[in-house]
Amino acid sequence: MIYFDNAATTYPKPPSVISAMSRALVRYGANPGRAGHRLSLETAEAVYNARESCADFFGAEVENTVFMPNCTYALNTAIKGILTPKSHIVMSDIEHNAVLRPVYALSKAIGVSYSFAETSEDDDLTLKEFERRITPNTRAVVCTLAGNVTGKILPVKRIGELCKKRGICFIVDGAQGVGAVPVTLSDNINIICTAGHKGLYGPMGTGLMITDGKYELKTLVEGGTGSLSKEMAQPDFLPDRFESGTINTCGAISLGEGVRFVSQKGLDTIRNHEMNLSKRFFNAMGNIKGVRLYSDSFDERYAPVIPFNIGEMPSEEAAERLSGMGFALRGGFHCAYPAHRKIGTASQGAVRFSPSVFSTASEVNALLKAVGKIAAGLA
Amino acid sequence: MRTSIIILYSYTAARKAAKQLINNGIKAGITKISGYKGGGCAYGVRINDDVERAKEIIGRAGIRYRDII
Repeated sequence: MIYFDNAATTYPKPPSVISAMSRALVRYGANPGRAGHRLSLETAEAVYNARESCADFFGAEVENTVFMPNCTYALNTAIKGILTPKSHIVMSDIEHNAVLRPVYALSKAIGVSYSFAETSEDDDLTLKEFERRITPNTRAVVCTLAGNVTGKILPVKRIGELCKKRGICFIVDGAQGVGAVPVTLSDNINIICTAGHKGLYGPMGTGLMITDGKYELKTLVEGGTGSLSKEMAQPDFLPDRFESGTINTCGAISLGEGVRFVSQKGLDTIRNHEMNLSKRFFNAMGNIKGVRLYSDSFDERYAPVIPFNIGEMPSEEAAERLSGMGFALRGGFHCAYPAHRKIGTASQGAVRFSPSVFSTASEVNALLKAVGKIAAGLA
Repeated sequence: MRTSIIILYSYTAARKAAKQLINNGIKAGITKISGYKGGGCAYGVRINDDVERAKEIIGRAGIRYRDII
């Protein structure tokens, strides 16, 4: 299959990541951070090296770089960790359910209130909206680095600056943008939550929560950490505090390799490649009769994610037809219904195009031909 | 010189400290301690060098140690 569903997870993975996973399964079989024997220490060292690579990538201290099962767990940890009963949080209007659902659950459980800041093509307007929604009760702002449906990159550095001035914790969902859009803690961000298996080219079952250590977070999960075993209380130091139980050791080690792959290849190189393919796709799609696109143009304001539809065909059906022709794209609502409401696809959903560093121009051309055939069939 | 163990609790902190020490010319190895009075399981950094200098190096790196035995 020709794979254009990289916004869901990147595929294929770099050979170095596959090798790292295979090597980890064979060589690093002991539980890290638990015992003192050589095998345990060697595995712990491999995990530390991966953690250090991730920390360097985001400009964080190594101990403030926490391995998570995925971005959703990281966001739940951050959001539920920071919010207190009856506190307030501001989100953008293009968030994923990984943000929306924990906030909604807290609104039912402990009376948290929330507001949506309307995002715009104009970053100045977006920023004004976030400012307008902040109240004296606002404890945190959370927003996506780039929308997983619209691809729109949000002005996180400026939003972060606003939060810093107001003494508000700023959490960024990096799932969609990380690996294509540069982002570090020095962009006025307190907590970055991200997937390991998308733009960082690690395996599924990995994620990261990167923190600047400024805000203390309550724990979601308590358990064995390999440290202070006599104490009933969960450790107060990171990363142990948020890594209860055995972590996905092979996943973490190969995620470290993915991060090194991205660093060595260069964010600019990756972004340029994916953006060139996306621009080719967007421009050509504009010339196919019956195809619907949801922005006037595609440019540097976007991550390489493009939603589209073919006439009135339900997006899941269009995706299924493309699958039958050998193309992997996701149709539907992408766990981000508000984003679909925003772009006018609330009933139809959309098919989502998202290339990776391994996608090629000839694959894009082949997809365009396939879309053209389906569109012509509807005429 | 006497062997000392700088106790840091988590493996991550111990590894970070060991790295700082090695980068500054102090041989350091990580060791697991189970019977430490503070709470049981902990990781430490074993050195055969000037403890005061070691403390200064890891302090400069912002690493908090718990004890030295």
